[in-house]
Amino acid sequence: MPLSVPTEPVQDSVARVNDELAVGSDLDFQRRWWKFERGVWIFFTLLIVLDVLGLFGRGPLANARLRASDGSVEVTYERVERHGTPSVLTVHFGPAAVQEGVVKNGKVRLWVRHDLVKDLGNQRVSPQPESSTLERGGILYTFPAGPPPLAVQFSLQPTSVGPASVALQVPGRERLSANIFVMP
Amino acid sequence: MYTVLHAIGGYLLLLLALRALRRRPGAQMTPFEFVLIFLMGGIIILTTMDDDHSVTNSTMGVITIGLMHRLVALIRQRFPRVAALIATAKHLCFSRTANGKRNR
Repeated sequence: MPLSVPTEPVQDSVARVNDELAVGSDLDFQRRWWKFERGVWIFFTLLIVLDVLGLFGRGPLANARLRASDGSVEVTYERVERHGTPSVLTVHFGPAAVQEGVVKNGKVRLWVRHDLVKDLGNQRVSPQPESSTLERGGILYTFPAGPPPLAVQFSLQPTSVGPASVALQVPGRERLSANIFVMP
Repeated sequence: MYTVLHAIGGYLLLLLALRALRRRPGAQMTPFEFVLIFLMGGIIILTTMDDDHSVTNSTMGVITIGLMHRLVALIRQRFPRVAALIATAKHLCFSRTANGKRNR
């Protein structure tokens, strides 16, 4: 009985060199992979450098401040926030606040747009306002005030990801607004 | 920024602590060593992540640990003296036989 000679080429999943020998490795692919891997680590290093600088929040580049043209009010905040991560937005009333009439009759009033609560998740206002009134799409806070410098802190914890904005105003004064990006 | 600094500090601290323990968990893992690994990992993660549980933060933490691993591996390759401080050096033992040949 004649032996049946296999005519089909050997099929396997192991990579071969020159289509002849299955050696279990493909050096060409490996070299390309190492090149790609080097690129990935360079990219990762760049990401870490940018993160340390604060491009993705919580670093020097993320810190920002807004100042009223008359110098009475200054706001410090983070222009890049992170989702669910606590941060603080501070409104400073400097010595010019009394001269400019921002602090009047031992009280200071501050209006903030509702975005501060809705998108940026305002958790707490410190100190506690004497009163808070809903008006013009936001909240008008009234704080008892002594001699400046004074500061009001808003503890934020963003609830949504993406661009957000904040607007603050001492009634009758310049409105200060800023864009904030919330990272996932 | 703080995550990266915490991750670097945490990595170096763990490296030193595991080195000081002499028996390195991994090759012959016992439950005791598992406890060490997970307990230390659990403790260090608290300060590494701090109050920031965002995806951005965890991504940066993982990348930083990966980069630290690559960096330490590179240092071990380039500087044998530093490598000896970081991990036990592999030793080859030779013995001479009667015919003068060396056996490993």
